[in-house]
Amino acid sequence: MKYNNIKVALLLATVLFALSSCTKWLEVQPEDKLTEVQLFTSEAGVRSALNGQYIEWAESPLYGNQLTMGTMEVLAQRYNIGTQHNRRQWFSYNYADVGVASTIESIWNSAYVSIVNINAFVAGLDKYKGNLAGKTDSLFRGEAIAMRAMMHFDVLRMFGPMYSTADSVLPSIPYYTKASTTINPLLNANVVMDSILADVKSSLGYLSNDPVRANGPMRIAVGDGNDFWRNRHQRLNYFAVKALEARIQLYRGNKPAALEAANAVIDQIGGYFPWVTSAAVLSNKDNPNRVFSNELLFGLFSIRMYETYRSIFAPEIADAQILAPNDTRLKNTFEANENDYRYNPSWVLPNVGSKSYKTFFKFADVVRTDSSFRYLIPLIRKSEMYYIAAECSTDPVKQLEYINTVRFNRGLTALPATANVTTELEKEYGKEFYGEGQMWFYYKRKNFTRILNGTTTTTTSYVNLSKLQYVFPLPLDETRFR
Amino acid sequence: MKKSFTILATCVAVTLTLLSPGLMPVVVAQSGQTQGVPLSQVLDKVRVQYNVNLLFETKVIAGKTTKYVVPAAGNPEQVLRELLGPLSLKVVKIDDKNFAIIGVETVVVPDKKPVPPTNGQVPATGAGTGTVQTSNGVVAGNGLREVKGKVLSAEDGTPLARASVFIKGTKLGMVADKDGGFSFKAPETATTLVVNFVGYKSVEIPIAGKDNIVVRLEATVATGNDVVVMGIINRKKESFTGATSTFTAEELKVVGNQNVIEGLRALDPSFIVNENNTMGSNPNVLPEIEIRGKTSIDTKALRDEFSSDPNQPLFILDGFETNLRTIVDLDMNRVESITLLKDAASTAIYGARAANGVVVVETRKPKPGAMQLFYNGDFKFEAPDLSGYNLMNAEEKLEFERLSGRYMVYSPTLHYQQLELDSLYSSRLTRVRRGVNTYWMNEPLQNGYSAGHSLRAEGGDSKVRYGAGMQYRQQEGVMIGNKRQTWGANFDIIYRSGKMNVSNKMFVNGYNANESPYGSFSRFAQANPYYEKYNASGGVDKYLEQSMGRTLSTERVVNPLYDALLPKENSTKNFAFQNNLQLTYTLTRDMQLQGGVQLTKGTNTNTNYLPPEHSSFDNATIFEKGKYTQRQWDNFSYQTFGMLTYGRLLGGKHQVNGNLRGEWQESRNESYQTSALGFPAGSNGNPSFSYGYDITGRPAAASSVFRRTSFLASGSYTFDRRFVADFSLRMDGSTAFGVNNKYQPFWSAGLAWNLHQEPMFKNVSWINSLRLKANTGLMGNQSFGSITSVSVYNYLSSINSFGQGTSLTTLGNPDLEWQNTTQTNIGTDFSLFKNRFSGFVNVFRKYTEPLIVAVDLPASTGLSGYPTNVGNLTNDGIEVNLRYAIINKVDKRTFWTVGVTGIHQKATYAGLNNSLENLNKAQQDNLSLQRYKDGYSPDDLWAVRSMGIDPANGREVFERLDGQYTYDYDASQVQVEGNQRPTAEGTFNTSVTLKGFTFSAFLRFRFGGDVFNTALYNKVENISDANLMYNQDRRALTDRWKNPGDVARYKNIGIVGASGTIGLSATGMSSRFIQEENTIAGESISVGYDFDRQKWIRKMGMKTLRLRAYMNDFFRVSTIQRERGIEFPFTRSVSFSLNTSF
Repeated sequence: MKYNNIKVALLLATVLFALSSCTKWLEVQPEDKLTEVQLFTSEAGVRSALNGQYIEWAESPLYGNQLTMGTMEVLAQRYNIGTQHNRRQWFSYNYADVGVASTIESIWNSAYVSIVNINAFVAGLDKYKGNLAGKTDSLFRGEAIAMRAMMHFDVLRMFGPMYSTADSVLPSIPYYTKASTTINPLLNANVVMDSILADVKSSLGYLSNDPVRANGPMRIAVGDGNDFWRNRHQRLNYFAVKALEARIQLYRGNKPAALEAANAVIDQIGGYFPWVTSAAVLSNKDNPNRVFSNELLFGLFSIRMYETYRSIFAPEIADAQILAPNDTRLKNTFEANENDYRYNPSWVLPNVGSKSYKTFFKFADVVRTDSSFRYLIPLIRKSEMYYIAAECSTDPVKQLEYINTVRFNRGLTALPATANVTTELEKEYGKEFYGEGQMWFYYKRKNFTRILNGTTTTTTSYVNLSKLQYVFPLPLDETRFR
Repeated sequence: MKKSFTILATCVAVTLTLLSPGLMPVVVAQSGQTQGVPLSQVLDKVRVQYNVNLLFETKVIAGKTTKYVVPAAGNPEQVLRELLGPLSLKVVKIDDKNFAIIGVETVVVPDKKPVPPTNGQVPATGAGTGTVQTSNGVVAGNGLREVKGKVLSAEDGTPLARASVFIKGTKLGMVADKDGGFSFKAPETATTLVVNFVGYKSVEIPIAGKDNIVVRLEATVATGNDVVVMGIINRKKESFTGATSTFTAEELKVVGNQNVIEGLRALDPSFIVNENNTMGSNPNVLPEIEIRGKTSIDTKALRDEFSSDPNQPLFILDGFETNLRTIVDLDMNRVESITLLKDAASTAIYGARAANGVVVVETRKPKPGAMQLFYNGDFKFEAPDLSGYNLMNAEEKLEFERLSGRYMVYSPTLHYQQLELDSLYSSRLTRVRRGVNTYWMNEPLQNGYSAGHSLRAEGGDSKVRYGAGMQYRQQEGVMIGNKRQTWGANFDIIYRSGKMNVSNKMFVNGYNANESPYGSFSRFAQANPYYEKYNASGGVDKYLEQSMGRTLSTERVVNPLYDALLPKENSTKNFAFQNNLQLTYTLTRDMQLQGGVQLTKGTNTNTNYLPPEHSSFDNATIFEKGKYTQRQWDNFSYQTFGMLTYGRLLGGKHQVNGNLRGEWQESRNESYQTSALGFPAGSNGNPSFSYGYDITGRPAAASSVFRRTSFLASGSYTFDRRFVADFSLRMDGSTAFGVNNKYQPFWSAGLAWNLHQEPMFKNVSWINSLRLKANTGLMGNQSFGSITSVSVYNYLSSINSFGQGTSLTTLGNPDLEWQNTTQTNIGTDFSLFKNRFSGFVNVFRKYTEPLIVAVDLPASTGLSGYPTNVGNLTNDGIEVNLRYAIINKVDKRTFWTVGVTGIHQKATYAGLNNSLENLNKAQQDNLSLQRYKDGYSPDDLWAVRSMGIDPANGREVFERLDGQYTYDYDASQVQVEGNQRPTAEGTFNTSVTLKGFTFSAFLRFRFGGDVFNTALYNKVENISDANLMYNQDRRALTDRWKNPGDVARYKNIGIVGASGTIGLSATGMSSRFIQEENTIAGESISVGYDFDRQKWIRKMGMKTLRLRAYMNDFFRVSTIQRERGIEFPFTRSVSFSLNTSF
């Protein structure tokens, strides 16, 4: 009997212990979130992690609004922002204003949150190696590294010094290639530029087998399970990265390298990114392709684009909130040329909202909801390569040729041989990139000390710009912890 | 047979140990025997062969051997004498079948109250050869009487076989048979029986004149001060090293009749309920509770939706974890006892959840017998306590505005506007002169009333017992519309058969909670007294006034009554079901196997509706006015355990107890929330009338699965009832620990010394009990949400043409260690001077290392609120609970005791090494008074030192860290200017019992704690244009500096942020607003009368009737004037309770 008791006790003790140590039972996978392991061990997971950053980029603090159609264009004096307008503080470059500072902070934070995500993504690819085919791994990696470069580049363009001055060696922003708590130092702008170009270079290496090079962007999804590698123009593909390189090199002032990259894009894209036709823009009244989607080397798909449009451009919006240029100024920008594909379809005198001026329709929705260009926010255009080539080329004939190619495809006549390339390029930037955020950086790159005031109709009223306006102050969230 | 012998021996040993002060060895035994058979074996043989009982102390035969051969037949007495004589042992014949064996050299000193010898012989000391002696010196042989009776369980009347029954002070007695019966011969001089049984309380029964003695033993597992109920394991207090306090339902009900929290707070010094200055006495708001201070830096960033306050203790109800809401809503009449586990030894068995202490609640177990009905009625009346408010009247407010410069245009160039301001002033003045002086604070208030009814039936027999109860309580808070209804029903059944005991408790409960439509009380406290509530026709206008502000902007003053009277809803409904099933199987006498399962299911729905007319929508577009939000929360959890307990007395002096336990728990939580935005005017809040969903509002949903498992081994060893050692070791596995680190060990070890059991103190008459104890151990804290060492991603709300995307929500910190707390407790509890003076003193240290802190890094790292291990926190303290019975007449049922409880604590950070400087900067930016610095306390208040107001110009003078005086406020020059934690906090208490009448009072004292007086900061100074629209503290008018030479505490009157002469810069947070607050508060007074002994009770068919009246929080004296209860006032209450049974 006694032995039996001991046996029972021992048995029970063993059972108790065995049961309590069932480790498997403790492996709970959350239902409303995903762990790193879950994500990186399937290709679908890896895709969603990468795609997540494109989605975040298309949100308002980044390319969904502030860095494209909103804030950057306000800074470039593109819209008529009166004294009562809610963007007035931006318009007058008052970066100390609470509202402005909080937007700056949200841009900075969103950019770096995206960077930490990208870095965690690259680290995840390394950590869970072997779950993807080598070729796909390399494409994922290439895109992610390019995203890192592009985001840092735009942060540098906003928060960095006026690069083409002696300030290019001033401390600017930190560059992060790892997701960690390590606080990276504020690097000199030229050092940041080196890092950006290094990332671009390595990205191009990883993307050398990008399907876009063989098959073009493949703008039709077919639903065969491989659609993630279609619509290449909606993510950073090989050509987009190469174009980005041209943009970066030009910003850096390395014109030969910029020319080389721009030409490489122009030469290699072949017929995959055809110029927009007048039929698509002008004749198709209900469904005008105002963003010229076929020409986009890179454009973000933003599901909130029309929501954003309705909140900042729609004619119903009050004068104090709408983003719309002064009508005369707009006319001057487009040299009153109604033939320009970029002018008529995108600028309409609305019949609602009792506006006496044209409002911006570039990002307005179209009638046919199956149009493939819906929701696209242009980020890198083929035309920019022609502009870069024109700016960097040393041959005056070629320079005009590049500009005229674009003009021809915008329904304009060729420039006379006497035309001033620099002046014409500035005009072209003004027309081509309305609502795309590039104008402000153009001014900054070229150190414009004054630009036309967005509120006046005269061509003689300027606002003065210096590094006080060109360089965003680092937000408090950054500086107080440094 | 052998077994019964062992028990007998055990019991004898126990009895003897009780007597041990009387035992004095005179001669050391020297047995010459070196060879032969152990005596015990030979005695066994005698016993079997002659069928006799032998009683002896194991130690007297220990080690003795003999070569004596037991004859096959003979006179047992003769045989025993022959056997034992050579071994210097004596045989005492009790009767024909019972013999006692005693050592010759053991001399027993007569009992302190010597029994007079009945036969005239003088009791001899030492063993005379011809005389048989019992140990108390009574000569046996004549004057024997028969002692017989039964031992039964008091609980259910089942016979207790093998209970030991002895004549007090002797070794005479026997073990009860299988029917609990006993019968033996005892000297006629014997007066008292001692009855013992394992698991039951020992009792002493006078036997004089009784023929049939029925002894009812109470189980020790029931409450009582000598057993510590730890929820998982129950331990005898004497063999336990932990610091705990146990309170019965009766004790708790002496303090108040609303919930157990107020009782625990008054009775135990370490149970601190933090004053909720915002929510006051709102019955729908949970109290913030801590036991022995805080162990965590409470960073909300680290908590997920379903986690609780990381400084809150763990709550255990009937052996299973529960939440604070359940405990607060628990009907006090269902409670059997509550035990607070405060230190390592007591809480270590809860391992990873125990760092903040544990509150163990046991509900009543049904008692057997004919069905009995119990009814409890609890009633409470409460009234708001607005004594902290010191607001201006209409005349004063208007004058204050005038002095501030409210009626002067801000720029001389706008002089043409002055006329309008002048006329505004005169219209207001006219109103004031007309006698308008509106008192707004009464509008949202009422006298609160609550009534609770609890009905219970129980009964059963020794096999099946049942209990069923229903509770309902309706509370109405002091703000109109604030309501709380709680209801519950329970059904308990206990079935006992042989070795199996099955118990099932089922509990269904729920509540409906409504918040007041009046919203925040502060809106009424800040309404200007020169406005009238109603317009000329008696209606309520939305705006009291639309006037031109000082800066020519339009000021619209909303009538708080308008918003209050709109139809709106803020209610919570809760339903919960709980079933506990517990099985106990007795494997052997020493070993028990237990198992249990608990299932819980709960649903909670919160509905919130604000109508479109509400003033908070004034600036919204028409389609965004009005909002309806509903949130539903579901919980399902199961917990199960298996446990093996072992307890045995070895060799008479070595008491060994052990437990092995395995536990599993799974808890699933889900929440779902939707909002509808935009309602037509006049809508009743039905969401189908809304215009649509919130534009940005996807429905919010969250779900979590939490699992934990643990394995526990705990044990204790007691030597001779004097020395106690206990330990516990627990492995905790939890989903909260992260993938790579699923298990964490926790442990405790402790020692105790029962001084009152020491021979040298046994004779000391004024020591009844005196114990020293010390223990230490490691505990964890799981309330940090599910932070993991791996990165966690979340699906994004948007999509693109590639489908879904995910984004990092938490970057994994693979190096993150869990926050563990090492606790050490050294203490004593004592009972002296015939138990008149009793209490405990504990000194403790809680050392938490590493802390988990959400650290903010530069935004460019992309990480904010990143969980990091940093530094440590030491919390030292001392707790005292002393009681003295001035009158202690048990026989007359008359007592008067006075007591004091108190706690002193100090917490200190270390090891931070400036790693949290960025948090400190953030604290500075957020106008917080807390800083994280080595050597300082989390309770320290940091502010710039103020030297007061310069009488010459009314400006504030600050002292910089370098000692220089300056007019310039610099937020970086902060130093410690106070500490929120009081030097000491506790109660003075007294209780009087006079027959059926009882009286008790608890006064809470709290001194040495500093507070930042926000009323001074926001309502005396720092009054901006916007604040000027609201009523302010009277001191803003009277106590501020006016003329050069004035010695004033506050700056001159002006408007913060305004320009020109009336402009003032904002006042910084300086030491001027930190004040030491010493308070004395009347926490509870109660008077009760017990009608149990009145005959008319029976006539009315009642068995018991008890009435009690209470006053709670009936006064409060403070050294400073500050506003308390900002959004909901504090209350004073009077309550009554009636308990009766049929």
